[in-house]
Amino acid sequence: MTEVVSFRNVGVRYESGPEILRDLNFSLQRGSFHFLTGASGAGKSTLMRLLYLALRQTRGEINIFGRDNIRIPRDELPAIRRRIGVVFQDFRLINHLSTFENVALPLRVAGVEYLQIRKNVTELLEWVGLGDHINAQPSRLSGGQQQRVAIARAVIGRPALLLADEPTGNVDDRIAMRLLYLFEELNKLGTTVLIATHNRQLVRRFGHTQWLLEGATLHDVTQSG
Amino acid sequence: MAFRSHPSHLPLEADSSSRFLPCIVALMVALLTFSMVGLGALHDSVGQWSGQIEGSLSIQVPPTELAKRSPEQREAALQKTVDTIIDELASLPGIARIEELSPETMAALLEPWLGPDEVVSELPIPRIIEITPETGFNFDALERQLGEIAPEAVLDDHRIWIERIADVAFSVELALTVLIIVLFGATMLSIVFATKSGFSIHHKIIELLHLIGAQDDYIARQFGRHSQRLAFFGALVGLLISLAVSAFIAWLGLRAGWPIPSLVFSPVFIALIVAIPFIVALVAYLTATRTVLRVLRQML
Repeated sequence: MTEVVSFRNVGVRYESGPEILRDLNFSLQRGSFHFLTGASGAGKSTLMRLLYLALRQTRGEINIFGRDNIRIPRDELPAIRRRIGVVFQDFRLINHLSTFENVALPLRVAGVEYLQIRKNVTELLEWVGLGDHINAQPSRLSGGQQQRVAIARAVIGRPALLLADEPTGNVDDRIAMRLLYLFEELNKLGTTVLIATHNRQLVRRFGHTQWLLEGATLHDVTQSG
Repeated sequence: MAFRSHPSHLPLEADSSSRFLPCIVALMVALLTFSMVGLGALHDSVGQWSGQIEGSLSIQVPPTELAKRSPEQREAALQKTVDTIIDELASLPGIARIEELSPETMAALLEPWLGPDEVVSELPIPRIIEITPETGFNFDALERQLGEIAPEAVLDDHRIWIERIADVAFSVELALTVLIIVLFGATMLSIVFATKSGFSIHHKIIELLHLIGAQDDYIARQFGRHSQRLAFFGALVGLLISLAVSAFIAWLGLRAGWPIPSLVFSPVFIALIVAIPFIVALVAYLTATRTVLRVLRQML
């Protein structure tokens, strides 16, 4: 399998504070599915920020799609970010845009033709069960529906790597299960998936690799789960 | 600058902050245009007044040397001096017209102060010769020649009035020019600040676009065009309002008999007024794009 991401002795600290993350060594293989668990404040979001190139490590080496993240020129970062789909913890939907326009954003910034955008976005919204809410603004959608819009936006560009930060944090268990099955479907299509969640009960129902962030370090807890 | 309608990738018009920028710009442009129209009108009026004064001069021939003579002798001597002056000066280059004010005209001019014709005819009234000079006329040559013909005659060329009017007009024009520069600067600064303050609202959108893989230039252009459209619309509204109010004041003044200038502006001045919305739009575009690029440079 090909490595999509690899971390070697990675550490992160903010200014002169203690290390939030320490000695991280792991890799994500193409088409793999991982859960990242840990208590609130354990550093899950910081690790996700490293992965979607919003933050740089203070030590160690990170390779993303075979490129050393420190050595990637700034003008090449957008092209790499387009290969990464992100479901943010707070969704980050743009309130004055419709569901359709929110989901279409990654395609628009990539310069895709409007007819292609319309076809792809409409199909995807149907697939995530929001076909009837294409023109609705996010504020008129429920928490679960907003979550699905955020997921649709993350996957519309067929990313090689999908990162989801607490995607089940704001929905009940039934909807959470549906969302996780949705991620599994995407994974079956070849997308590498990493989901950060504090809900360990939920992830135990799936047979994927589970990592635990504790004490600023990463532990594989798949077997012990 | 692109004013044509682009397929908007980010319909920022729906954002509530979009109402703020056009209002500020409209207000500032209205004030700026008012000042410019005021300056133009003043400049035009001063030009007209100066032209009217410069377009005529007069020679006063006093009867002082002839005071002891009889009225008939006095009139005959005065008439001879006046005729000599007219004959001699008519040959000078640059004089379009030279003629004596008729006794009837003089009497009519003096009647409000001195009463009916009979009294005027008995008084030693000076004779007045009116001269209409052409452009570039040599006043000094006229003054010299007049001194040789009739040393007692007085040339009144209104230059002191022209100089005083020019001094006052220059002071007012200078003050208005400074005001326009200050207003223009304030307009530009208000666009800069209004645009920048709008970005505090858009900061999360900028960050999101950045994280989903948008190029910096793409994001900056989106916001640049948005600000450009808003600023152009605001400036156009401000310009139209100020022109409409100026026209209304002029109409009101004409009806009330105020000394309203004719407001015939030069093509350069009109072009400058028309250019205001375009200049404002350009400043807004550049401000918005530079602000967004600066915000983006702080991100990874």
